[in-house]
Amino acid sequence: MDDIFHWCREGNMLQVRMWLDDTEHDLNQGDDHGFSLLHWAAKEGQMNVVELLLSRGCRVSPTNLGDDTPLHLAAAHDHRDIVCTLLRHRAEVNKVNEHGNTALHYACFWGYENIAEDLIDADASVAIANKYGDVPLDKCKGSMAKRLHSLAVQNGQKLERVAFKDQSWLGLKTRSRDATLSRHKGINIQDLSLQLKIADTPSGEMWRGRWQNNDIVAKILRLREVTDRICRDFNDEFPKLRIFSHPNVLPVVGCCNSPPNLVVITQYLQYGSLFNVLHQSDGNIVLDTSQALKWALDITKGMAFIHSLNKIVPNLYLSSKHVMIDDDLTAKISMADAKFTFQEKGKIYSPQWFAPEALVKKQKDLNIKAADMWSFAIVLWEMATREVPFADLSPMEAGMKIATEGLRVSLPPGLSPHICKLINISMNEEPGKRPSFDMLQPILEKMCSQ
Amino acid sequence: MTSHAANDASTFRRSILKTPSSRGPSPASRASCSPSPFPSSPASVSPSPSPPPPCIINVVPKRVMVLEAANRGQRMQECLESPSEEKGPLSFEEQESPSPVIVVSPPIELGVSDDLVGSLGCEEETSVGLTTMTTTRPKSPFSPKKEEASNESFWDKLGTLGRKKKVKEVNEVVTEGKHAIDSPGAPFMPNMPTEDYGLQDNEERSMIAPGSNTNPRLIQLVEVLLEWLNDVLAPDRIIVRDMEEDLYDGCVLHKLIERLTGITLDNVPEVTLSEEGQRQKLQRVLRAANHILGVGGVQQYQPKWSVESIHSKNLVAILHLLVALVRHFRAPIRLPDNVVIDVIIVQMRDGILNHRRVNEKLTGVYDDLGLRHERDAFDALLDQAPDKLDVVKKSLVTFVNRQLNRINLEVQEIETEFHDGCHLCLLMGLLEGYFVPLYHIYSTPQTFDEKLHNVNAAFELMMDAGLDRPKARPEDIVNKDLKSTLRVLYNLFSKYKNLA
Repeated sequence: MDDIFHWCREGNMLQVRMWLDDTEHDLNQGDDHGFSLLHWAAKEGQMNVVELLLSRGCRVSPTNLGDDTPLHLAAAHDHRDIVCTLLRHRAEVNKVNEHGNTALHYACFWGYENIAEDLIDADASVAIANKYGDVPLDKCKGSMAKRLHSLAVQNGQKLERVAFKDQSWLGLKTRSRDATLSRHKGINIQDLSLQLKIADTPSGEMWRGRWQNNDIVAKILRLREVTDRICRDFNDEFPKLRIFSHPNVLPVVGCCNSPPNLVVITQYLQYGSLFNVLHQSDGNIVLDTSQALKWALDITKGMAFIHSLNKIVPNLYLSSKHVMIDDDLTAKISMADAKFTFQEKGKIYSPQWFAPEALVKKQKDLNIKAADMWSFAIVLWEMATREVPFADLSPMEAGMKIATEGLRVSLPPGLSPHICKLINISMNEEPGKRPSFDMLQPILEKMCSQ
Repeated sequence: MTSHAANDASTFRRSILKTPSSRGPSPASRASCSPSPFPSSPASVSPSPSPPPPCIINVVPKRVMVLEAANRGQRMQECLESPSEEKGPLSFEEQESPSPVIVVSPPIELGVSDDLVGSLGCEEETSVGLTTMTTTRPKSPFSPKKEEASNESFWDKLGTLGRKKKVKEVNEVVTEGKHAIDSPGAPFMPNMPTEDYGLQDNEERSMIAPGSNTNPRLIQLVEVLLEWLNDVLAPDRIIVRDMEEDLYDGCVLHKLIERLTGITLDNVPEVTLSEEGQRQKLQRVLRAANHILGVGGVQQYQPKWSVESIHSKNLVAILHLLVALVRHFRAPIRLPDNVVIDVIIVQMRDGILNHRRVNEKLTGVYDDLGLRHERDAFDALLDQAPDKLDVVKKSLVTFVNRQLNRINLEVQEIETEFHDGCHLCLLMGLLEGYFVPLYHIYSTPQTFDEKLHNVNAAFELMMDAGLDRPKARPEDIVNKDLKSTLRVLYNLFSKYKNLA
């Protein structure tokens, strides 16, 4: 068995690392039973692999087909260090599997008292009943139940029994991604079931749908005509957008090349883009300074990674519309919003986020990384002010004014001086004097931790 | 027919050739030989108070006519050109001389240039009766081809094509070379007598009426075509200076067709000196051209050119061919609209040369588009209500400026300010809600190609916006064609007029 699941189980760090370095490999993929890489590493107690996976941004609480999370497996197999690591990465502690068991059920059942205490300290409820009506304490042997009970009381837990409710049909759990997701880059359009048109954008129609039991968003590109040449370019270009290996990059899962329809498929994220969250949110998400800083850090990491790639992703324009917010409130650069070379020629729909020089010069004559940094400054400004940049101007007006009349965002009084400084250095008029994303990363990390 | 033709040709007072025996100066023909504008006061028109001497238009190629006209001065032109004047109250009784009649037989020498001008003075003293002019007059050297034709075989004519004995070949080349040097190479000499001219019974020849020579639109058309020819043929290092003189032998046409189509014509010799060789070459070239243009087949439209007409340096035929090529290959030039010229068609009938005057349309309204498409509102507008044009222009300017003002731009002249494509691109961005990156267009285009690039970019944006491909060609916009520009803008107007 020479596959990634095997390497994770046996803790083959070299192979795992090499596998992860290929951007097309999806570290959230699961095997035939939905066991993700993290499931296997947690089950087998491969601490190094768990840390590597978490550092690469894998999901902490995906479920397998039995709805177990890695935490369930680590608790059941007595890997206390891994349980603690997962808890530190905010694993969902009270998640139940198909039997209605939480991780605490397993720790109690197997008598791993230390793990059980760690779990309770991390707010694991002792009162959740499983499918058969048993709470974790019912599973304990001897005096362990009593000790855990007093610990729970001491932590101020509510002790009313929570009855089992089968909610698996709701599909709220984050399954490990189907491995076929990253295995098949060319997708047959017949396999898509598109249910709901979400939006009609200049670049294409966005549809919500399902593909191989995954929630997806399919973008049917808007093109005047699809020629053979365009099909060929499409096939050449979309694999570069399948970047699965970074937590802050949202990959294009696959594409359908079936003229006249060219479809770009990506994962469905309920919160939508950062732009949606910032300017059109219904208040589900708490937008405070620390959240904004965290997103800024996420974006910085994602962009730093993209800039570190050998093959630069062409026509990826950073803006709040092209940053997606994942279910766990991680910000991700959406690769699906990169433009194909044959797309939107001679049109820039969001010049408000563009560096002035990027509106005037061709990409090849441009310091793309510096131009992206300018765009990042606009996103920072957006998060700081909660305003849409140049909202009162049409794209043409805004573009002309930015490019030729020196129109810039203004920093209203009352912003954090740190943020102001960050925006100012990122928006340096001299492209060469702007910082790079990996220079910003430590600064933002420091600001986040404060 | 005769009288009708004479009426038609009222401006050519003396060009009717008649045998006195068959038909005298009938009242109809005399009336048609309308009074000259100047003979009423002979003193004023000295030294030649008599009506201008005859010019026989059928044998006189255009160039000679021009020369003649130049020699004679403007009055001759006026006389020929202004039929309205001639329809004035002056009656022919007022004329000093009876309307001249030209007698065909015995052979007459008419339409001679230099000699005629020289003889003008004496003509006055003798008689206006043009029979005097039928006396034998010195002929300028002319090619003995015709005589040879009778006693040489077909193969001799072929020259290089016929494989014959060396000696004969050499002889042939020598004679041919002699002819080439001695003769101007033209098959028809301007001074050729009518019988040499060889019009068969019922045969027709056509040529541009003298008045049309100076038609400014014709001159413009010829200039534009010459420029185009020179553009196309520049890679072959061919320079065309004169439409008739340079094109009649088929060499330039051969290169032109090859250049336009990008294919090499088989079996066409590069150089021919003999007249027959030229004809054969021309025939092959024209066959290829007709094939490309889709004319001249059994059931197809018959072209207005032929080997004969082109080889005889008929400007009308050459122009028709070139205009057809320009249209077919959608050359990026703008031909003047509605070039209509008067053409005299001379026909030999019963030994008499009759002529009639016909309007020949070289280019129509839409020839500049290279397309024959259906007429639309703009044709009606420009043709029927030119006074409304200003209103339309004004509302289009208002519509355009409402958008452009948002980026501090303004246009005043529809015709000129859209030709470089910049405004069109920016307008599309304003209408469709995107920014057109400045690297996508030339913001200060200088050359034709840069402007063309911009207009093409604008057309792409329009088509992306779901508009039909504009009916105008990008080249027309760059050439500041008002109608094309109006069409494109109107297209935008009808889609976006309700845009806030």
